Amino acid sequence: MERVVIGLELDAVSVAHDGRTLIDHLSFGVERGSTTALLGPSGVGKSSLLRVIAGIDRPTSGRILLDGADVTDAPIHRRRIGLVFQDNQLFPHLSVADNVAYGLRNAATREARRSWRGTRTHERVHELLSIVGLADRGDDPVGILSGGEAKRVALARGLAPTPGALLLDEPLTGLDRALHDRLMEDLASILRTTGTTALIVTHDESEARFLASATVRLG
Amino acid sequence: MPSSADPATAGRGRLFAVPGLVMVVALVVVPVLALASRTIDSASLFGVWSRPGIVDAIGFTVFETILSTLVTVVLGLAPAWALSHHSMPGHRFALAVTTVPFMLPTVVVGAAFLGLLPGSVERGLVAVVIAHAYFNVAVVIRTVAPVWATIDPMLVAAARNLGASRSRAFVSVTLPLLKPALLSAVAIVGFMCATSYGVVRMLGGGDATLEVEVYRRAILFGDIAGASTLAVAQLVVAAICLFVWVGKDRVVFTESGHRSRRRDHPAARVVAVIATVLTAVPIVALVLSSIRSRGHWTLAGWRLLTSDSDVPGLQVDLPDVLFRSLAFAAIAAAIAVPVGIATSTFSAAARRTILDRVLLLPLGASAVAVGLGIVITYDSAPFDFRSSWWLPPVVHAVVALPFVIRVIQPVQSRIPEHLRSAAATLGASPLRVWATVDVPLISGAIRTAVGLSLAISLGEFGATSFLTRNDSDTLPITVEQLLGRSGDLARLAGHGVAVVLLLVTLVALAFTTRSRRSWSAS
Repeated sequence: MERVVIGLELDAVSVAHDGRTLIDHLSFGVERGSTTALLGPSGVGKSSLLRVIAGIDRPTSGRILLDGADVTDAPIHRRRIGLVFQDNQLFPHLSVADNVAYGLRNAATREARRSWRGTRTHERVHELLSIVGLADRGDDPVGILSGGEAKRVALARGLAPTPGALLLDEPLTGLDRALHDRLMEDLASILRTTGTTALIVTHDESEARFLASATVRLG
Repeated sequence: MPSSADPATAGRGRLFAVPGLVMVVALVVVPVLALASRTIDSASLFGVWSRPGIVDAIGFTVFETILSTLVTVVLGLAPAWALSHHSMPGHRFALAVTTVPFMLPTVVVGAAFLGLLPGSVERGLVAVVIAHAYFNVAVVIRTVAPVWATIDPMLVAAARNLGASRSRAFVSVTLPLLKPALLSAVAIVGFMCATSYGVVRMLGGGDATLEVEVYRRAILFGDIAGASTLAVAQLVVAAICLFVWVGKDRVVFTESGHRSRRRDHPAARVVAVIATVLTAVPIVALVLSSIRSRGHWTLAGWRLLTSDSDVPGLQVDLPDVLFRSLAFAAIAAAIAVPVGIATSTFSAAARRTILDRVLLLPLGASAVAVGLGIVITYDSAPFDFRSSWWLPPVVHAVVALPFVIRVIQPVQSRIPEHLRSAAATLGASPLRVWATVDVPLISGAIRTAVGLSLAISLGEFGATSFLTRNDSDTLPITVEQLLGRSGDLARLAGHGVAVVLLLVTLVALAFTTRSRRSWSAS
């Protein structure tokens, strides 16, 4: 029988916001290379949990492990857990390609930055933009992108530095039905192709079933 | 009242700009042209540059401008960051306090640093740079903080999440987004430092900016041609900068725009408290300097100011000087505000015209050049106004006019046209529409304009130093005269008059803070 390897693991993690406990001693693991959906109604603390896992906020207790290593106290830029924000947070002063290249050019370590010098960055950006179907849009400013295109760029940007795990905060919210369905299929395909360990926040059961091999319910 | 949709009405609206235009042409354009003609007529156009002191003045102006601007922007970034956290307790208080120095008369700032700095550096480059930084940090805060507040902290978090360190995230995300605001701040601060007069007169010691050199040449050396040449050369450079700057939609002194929700940050509180305290220190030093000399407490300076003095050269009639300054300020506001309202009524309908820029000329014209130009222009019949009592307050009104327009015009232009249409369909005449719709909605801006006009007139020093006579000194002139003399008593009295000037200016500025609930705020 094949042994399950855990990529991302939460061990008794508690999360509070404005002094109110939102999540109390939550534990679960995401199998390496697979996608897990975090389901729950609005206000239950799903996005707050993602911010804690990404390192933007701190948990009130518990541990976060990536590939077996405790990253709870690791600074945000060194923990190798990517986050695709619900509202994308694309850098408005950079082009599509420069947004995707950002994590390569500004990697936490000098070695990593050196390894992405020259044409490698260009090739990686082109590869990612091809995966998300925007290979010819690299020079465009992000301000002219449609909602779906911006989501794709945010996804490509999150995947570019090859994070140990990728967190996606309601990646399909706010899209019209046709675009939602098309992007959902693309997203599932991209995550599968890239073999990314992913945790997706959603409040849509069907979305969770389609994208994820496992589900964690909150609230 | 004018509407951009109706050419005939807009045409009539141009009449509203006439009073402002006449003032600016008569007291800025004509005097400056008179200066220019002196320059062209004289052989000094090229010869002046080789005279002693000129090259030094140019070198000092360039060097102190670069240094002052650099120091100001660097010092202003931390409080700008702190005050971009709108959720911080005491945010508005800290913002108001840190803005005060920019509104203070230059001689008050000069006097404050004469009282604060140790004797070894109280005059010279160091003192000038420190005073300029104190004076202009508010520009950086008010220009950069509102833009910084619109940068979503999650954008920086996104950069950090992608591997960027704090410094890399600042350099690669925050700084590029702040760039327009920073460039605006650099332009304004650089302009203020390059054309600085009062601070350098007070603290420059042997060093002089071009502005001070113009004054020295004209008043001390009687070299009118040389002074005119310098003044015109500086005006040309300033005008080019101003037109380029006004032509671009720069970020300037705005509090509008989307503000992202920022979590309160302990470091922001600390920085805001430090900035507030540091702002207050020179003010406190100024007050103390009026009652403390050589380690002893004394009221000798105040006694000199409040009683008939028989000390040679120190006869100061403070009530008389105070009354004159207040009267000048009241007259200046009474002229500048109605003219500014009338001009804004036109300007709101027709922005970015040549006329609009002409009306902003007093912003770019150096006060010293204007003062010298008026002295040259209006010194013979039938226009011999040099000794007229009304000339200083009218010149103050011209100096205040662009600020009044800049305060009222944006508020007026935001009034929805359909409000006026609604009033008109209910039977209101154009005048009634203006009185019952426009005026109530711009009342907050009008109060701000009144406060600004009063403060500008009270502190005006550049042009006034050319226009007042011995029996018509204002508070700033008296401060400079007393602090320019040797002796402890003169110094105590000078700081005392500066305290009085500070107090009346703060009362005037209180008008501007009371009018927060204006149409612009909504």
